[in-house]
Amino acid sequence: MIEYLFALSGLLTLAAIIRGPTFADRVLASGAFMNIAVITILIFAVRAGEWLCLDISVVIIFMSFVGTLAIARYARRKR
Amino acid sequence: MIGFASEALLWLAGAVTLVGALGILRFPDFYTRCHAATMVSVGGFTLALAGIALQNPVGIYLFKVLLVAAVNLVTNPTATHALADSAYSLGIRPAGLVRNDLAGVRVAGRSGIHGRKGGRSG
Repeated sequence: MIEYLFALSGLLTLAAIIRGPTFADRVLASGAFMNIAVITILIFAVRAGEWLCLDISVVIIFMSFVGTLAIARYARRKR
Repeated sequence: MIGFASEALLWLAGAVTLVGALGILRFPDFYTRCHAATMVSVGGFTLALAGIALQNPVGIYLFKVLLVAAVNLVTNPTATHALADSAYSLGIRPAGLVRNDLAGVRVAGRSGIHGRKGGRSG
């Protein structure tokens, strides 16, 4: 039941990715979507007993951080 | 009892996440959207991880869940800060800005706000 709540949040975040006027809004919304995806994976891990998914979530969190930081450093104005 | 507390924490996390996602969609400018996205990624995420940690609080699983929480609490505000710095350097300003204390300050050189004055910033 609670999965649908997170699914609705993920859909709203996808709509924010599509709608965001600037690139920064899109990157921010994609980071939030990544977080919601990790929460969903962890809830699946609890429900199904697949505790290997915890390692996957660590990797996803690190990739999200590196991706956001790379885009932020790339897109800033060079002087 | 522990199961009930875990479900309550998960539902609270779901509510915070939903409100944050609505905020990302509805807030007027980028900096207020930063606030809403941080509500998703710190508030909702940490509450959900607390609920998940209560489901199976033994040994290595508890350690891994706490590791995910610690990594997220360190990396996510850092990423949002870098993104806001980059957005300011690109000229994105808050809606309804009346006074800008950073107007004359040189920002976003190659080494950031507190970086070197000279150097290879050309």
